[in-house]
Amino acid sequence: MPDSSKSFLTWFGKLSYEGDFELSENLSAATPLELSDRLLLILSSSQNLKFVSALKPVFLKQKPDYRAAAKQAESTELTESDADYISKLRETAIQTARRQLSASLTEDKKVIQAVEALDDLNETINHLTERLVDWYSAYYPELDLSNEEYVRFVSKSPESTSKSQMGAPASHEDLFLMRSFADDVLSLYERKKAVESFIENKMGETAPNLSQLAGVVLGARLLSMACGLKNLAALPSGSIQVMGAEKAMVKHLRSNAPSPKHGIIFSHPLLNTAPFRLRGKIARAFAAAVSLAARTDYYSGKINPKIDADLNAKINRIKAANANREPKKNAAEVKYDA
Amino acid sequence: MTLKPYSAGVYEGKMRGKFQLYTQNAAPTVSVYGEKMMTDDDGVEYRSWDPKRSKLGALYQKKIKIPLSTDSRVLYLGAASGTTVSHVSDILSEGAGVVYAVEFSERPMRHLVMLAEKRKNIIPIFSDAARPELYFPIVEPVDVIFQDVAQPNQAEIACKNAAYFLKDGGHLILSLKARSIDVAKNPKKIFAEEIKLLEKNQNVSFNILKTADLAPFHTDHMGVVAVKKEE
Repeated sequence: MPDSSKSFLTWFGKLSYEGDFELSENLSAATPLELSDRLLLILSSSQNLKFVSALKPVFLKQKPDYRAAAKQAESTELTESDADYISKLRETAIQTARRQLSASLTEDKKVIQAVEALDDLNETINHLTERLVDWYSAYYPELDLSNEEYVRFVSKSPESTSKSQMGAPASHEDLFLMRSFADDVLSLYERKKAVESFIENKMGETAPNLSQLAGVVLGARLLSMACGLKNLAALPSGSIQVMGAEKAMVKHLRSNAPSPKHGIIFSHPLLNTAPFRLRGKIARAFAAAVSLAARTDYYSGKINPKIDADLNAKINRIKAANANREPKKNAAEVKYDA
Repeated sequence: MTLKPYSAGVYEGKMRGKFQLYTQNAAPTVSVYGEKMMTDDDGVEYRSWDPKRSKLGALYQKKIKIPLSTDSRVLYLGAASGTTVSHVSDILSEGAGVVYAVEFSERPMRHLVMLAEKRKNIIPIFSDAARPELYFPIVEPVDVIFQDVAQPNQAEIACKNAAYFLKDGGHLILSLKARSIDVAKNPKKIFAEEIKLLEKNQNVSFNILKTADLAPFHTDHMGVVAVKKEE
């Protein structure tokens, strides 16, 4: 009986080491699907990884000849040639990769796509709205509405804007073009609302603590910048603090420019309403809480109200401790803050 | 027009009067990344190899001797969408070579899988190049490791993989990206440190055969060709 600690699973069967590598367990004949099941298991199994790592000193000196071993294995049904080995392995590897990829779209990835779509929508909407305002104002310069209302007005614009004295007369052709343009922009506003509510729902499910603490959109942006909840949970809070301020960070590392106090998290009201002198300190506390929230979301998924409460207490302490500080006017000293 | 052999599986010719490398298309009529193709007088189709799109292509163009034969077994770390892998596959398909292509990012991996479907000698592996223990049961010992991963611990990843997969006397071809190792330091210093890591690793050590700055094709990149010291 071979020593089980000196064997490991390969795609075609189990190999053992006793002075040489030998096929120790002939796994039953397998269909392509079963072979790819085995490959999936290998690529995700921590147990096999331990066996392989334990044999590393052996591999340094001696490497297994898979092609020879695979020919003895029943499960591969390999005949003689090396081309056979490659073609069987390739087939199995492709199928495995396909299955891994199809399973790789996790909920947080969907949120990331949505929040990036939201940014694109915002940009496009602003762009198109600006164009429409510029265009339509020639006919009705007095019209003073906010962006969305403006678009809504144009899409239902009356045939004549007789009240306007400055405006040029609009022909039916002009109006038709602008109305349909406005309709399109309006549908983008609708789409934006749909995407926002999607983000809200999904964030509530996948990252409840993070969305409670940072808000759904900022939370989703953080997920997007870290490329997923798992990565965000693994990041140190210092990195989260300056995420989105990479340019300033690089400048700081390369020259003696001041370090950035905050990146994307600055969009949170806790930071952008804080007194200038305290922003760095509050940003640090906030980033720490974000990091905690992301970890709680990734590892337990349960809501932990303590994170929010602790952060508030901490911010109150910061504010109390610095209540009497004179606002400094010396710019040279400001950069050492935070 | 006929092409001249340049290196094993690589040919040189002219495009718009300029020097241009080509590989013989292993999947005829299919262009992988929009590269130009040409057919020679014997009706064989070749794909042009853009040194600006591929670090390995740049190394070839810089006239560095690349230890790649048409029968090589290659482990390719950081395969991305398969731009360079497709040319490696072209080279290898003139012999009986095979390339194990490891990539960890989903989007490029989808392209890579589609590429592998069209070519008989690419084995795609969706795994983390920093964890060779995971895909060890799939990848056989290899003659050449090519690495283009743009990670801060590039040299370490290369050594780890070499320990598991590289045959004695096998070659490592490395594309070092200074900007992903340290944004602040001088690239020359970074390269010197990384080279030192390759020469003095506890498990495998390398003799550096050649280093080359990849400018003007890639800035702040250095190509390294090294050979694994025999035990």
